[in-house]
Amino acid sequence: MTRRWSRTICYSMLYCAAMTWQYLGERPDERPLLVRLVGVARHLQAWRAIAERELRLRYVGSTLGLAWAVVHPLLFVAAYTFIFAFVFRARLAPDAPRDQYALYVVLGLLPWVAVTDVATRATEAMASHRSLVKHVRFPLEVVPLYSLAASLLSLLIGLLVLLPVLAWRQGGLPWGAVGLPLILLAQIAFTVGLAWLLGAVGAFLRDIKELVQITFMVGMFLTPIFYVESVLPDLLRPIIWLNPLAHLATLYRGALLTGMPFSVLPVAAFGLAALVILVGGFAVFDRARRLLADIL
Amino acid sequence: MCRGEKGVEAQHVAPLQETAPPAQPDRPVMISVRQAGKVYKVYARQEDRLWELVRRRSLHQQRWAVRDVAFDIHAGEVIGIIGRNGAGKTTLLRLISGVAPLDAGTIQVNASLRTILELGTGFHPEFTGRENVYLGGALLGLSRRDIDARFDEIAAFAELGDYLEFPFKTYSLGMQARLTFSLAISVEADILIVDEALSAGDSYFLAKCFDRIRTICESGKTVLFVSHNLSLIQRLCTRVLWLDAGQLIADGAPLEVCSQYEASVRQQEAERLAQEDSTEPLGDGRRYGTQEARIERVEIIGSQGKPTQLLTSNELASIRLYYASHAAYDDLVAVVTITRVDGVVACSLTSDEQGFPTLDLQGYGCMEITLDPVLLGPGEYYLSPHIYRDHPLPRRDDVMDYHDRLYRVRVVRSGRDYDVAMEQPARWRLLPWDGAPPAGSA
Repeated sequence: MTRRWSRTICYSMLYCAAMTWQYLGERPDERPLLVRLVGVARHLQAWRAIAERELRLRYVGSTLGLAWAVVHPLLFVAAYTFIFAFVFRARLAPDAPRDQYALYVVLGLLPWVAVTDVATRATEAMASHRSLVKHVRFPLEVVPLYSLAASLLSLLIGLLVLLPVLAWRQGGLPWGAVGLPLILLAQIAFTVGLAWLLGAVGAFLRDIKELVQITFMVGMFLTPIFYVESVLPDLLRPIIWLNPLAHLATLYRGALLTGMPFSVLPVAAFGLAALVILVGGFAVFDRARRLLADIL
Repeated sequence: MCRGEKGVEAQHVAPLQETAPPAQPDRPVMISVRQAGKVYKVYARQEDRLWELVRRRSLHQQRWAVRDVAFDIHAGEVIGIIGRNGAGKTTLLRLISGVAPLDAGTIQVNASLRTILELGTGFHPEFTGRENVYLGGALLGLSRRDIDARFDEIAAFAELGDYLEFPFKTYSLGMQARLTFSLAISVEADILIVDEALSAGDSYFLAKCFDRIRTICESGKTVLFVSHNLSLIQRLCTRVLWLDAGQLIADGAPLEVCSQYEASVRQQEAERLAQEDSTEPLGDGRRYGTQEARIERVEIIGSQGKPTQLLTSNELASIRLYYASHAAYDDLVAVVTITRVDGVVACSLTSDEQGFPTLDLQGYGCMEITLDPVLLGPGEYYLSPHIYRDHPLPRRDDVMDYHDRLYRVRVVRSGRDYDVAMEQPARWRLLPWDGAPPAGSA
């Protein structure tokens, strides 16, 4: 029985790969949306070019240069850990260890920053890469994703710093840590979709940038980053359920903190949100693409 | 492309082919443009785009930037595109290169394209020249290996030496142009499209760029380029397209199309000058004098015998001064000073030096000064006609009427578009060699 299942899975994966390969070389126009979405993978080289440029641009001219990409998340994690463990002296539960709260906050903050940073920059991505849109034949899909690599790098370095600390303080990592790559994958899908959505809308309506910044500022406090969900009044609970980034924070904590195991709701909720945003964002961007060169 | 009566007989031919230029069957078609059109929606405000969706009411005006343009480009042709500003030249290039979507018609491109619409796309002032070549090149679709292979060539062409390791922001505009052009031109493709992007750069580098473009043109590649430099277009192109208001006005041999275009520019200019009606005095404070003798009207007559503001070098012209006077002096002199727009006095036409030692200007009449021919170089000139008493001891009230640079005239050159100060009359002839023959001659 198991052999039959595994064979079926193998065949279907092979079939998917073959279909993808076949579609990749084709002109994108008349194909179904999902196929076009997969076709974005063709532009990996263009994305690497624009992402590398952005990564270098962030630290160009500074003495430390690219080392800042490492130093920055390091200092970030250290500062938050220090403040919440030793200055505020807060605890998740009366008998919980003191540094658990600091780790809780950092694990909520890291993915939050990674997602919102890309999304905020995406709102003006088209305008800031105007000459690419207007004067060169450049795959426009990758333009809103220009800061994705830089912010993912920060996130990964932050996690790399954090993992030994977590292992040391908790006496080993929980089993859920195995799911971390999957969480990252879903997070990337979510971020990409959001960037497409905001990139397209932001090109038409410059006000979106301000709106998004304010939303994220308020949203930071409507997401259980600095507090535990259970302290919220019942009235605000639905907001947390509807907030995909709250679920993302829960996922990270479920994977890496011993006291908070995985539950089905955040996995399903964030997975669904990532899928919907990815496809929806691409659909919006795809519709706007034709007009982009004319309106900028 | 003759339409109309003959078109009726040829109706079995598809209308698309009717507007296409004569076929060159020996060469494959590289670009085929059919009834291409591009319309821009012009909104008063950016947010009207959204209101339009919500209110389902049209809030925009349509402007056709390119309309009904059709032509074929064959391999190895060097096409020049000319036209006034806003004629749709750049839009057409953007349509062909696929940057902007078409709104009507079709454009088919059968080879790899390389478009230089703007120099320095993707360059950033903080990066060094070298980094910019790599990162900017990557955005143009070059891989790191491609650039590695070409880097020396790019650096050699730009001739920037050590400056390649300094930030781009420290470069002068000319140096920036050198690097950006070197990168842009290094990408290989079957069809090269260049918008007039070579404005900066010193004349040495400019010559080098044109040299490179000429090499590419002569290497059998297909090249399209937009330029306002008509002599360059005539030198390099095998065919010229003239666009006006988004439509193809002419398509043919460079000499023919360029001269048609020049003629139309000249005519438009004559119309503009006529509209401005500059034989009326331009301002009040610039006319002074005792008014005992007055210049009532000034006419400039061109070689056609009609009043004009547009003269052509080496052709006949005359200036007529209509006067009315009650001055009973015997030492009056009439002068027309011609000043170039940059302030240089080009010449002074003086009655007492040119056949009228004394002028009798009682009553009214007209003085005609014939320029046979006009020797002024091309450019814009102001005329200052005046009448004054020629005293050994000048006084303020000697001036009867002075029109200080009140009339404008434009001079154009009929031959090559040289920027010369004057047309020196000259004769050429060939003489036999005088003395011992030169070394090395048989």
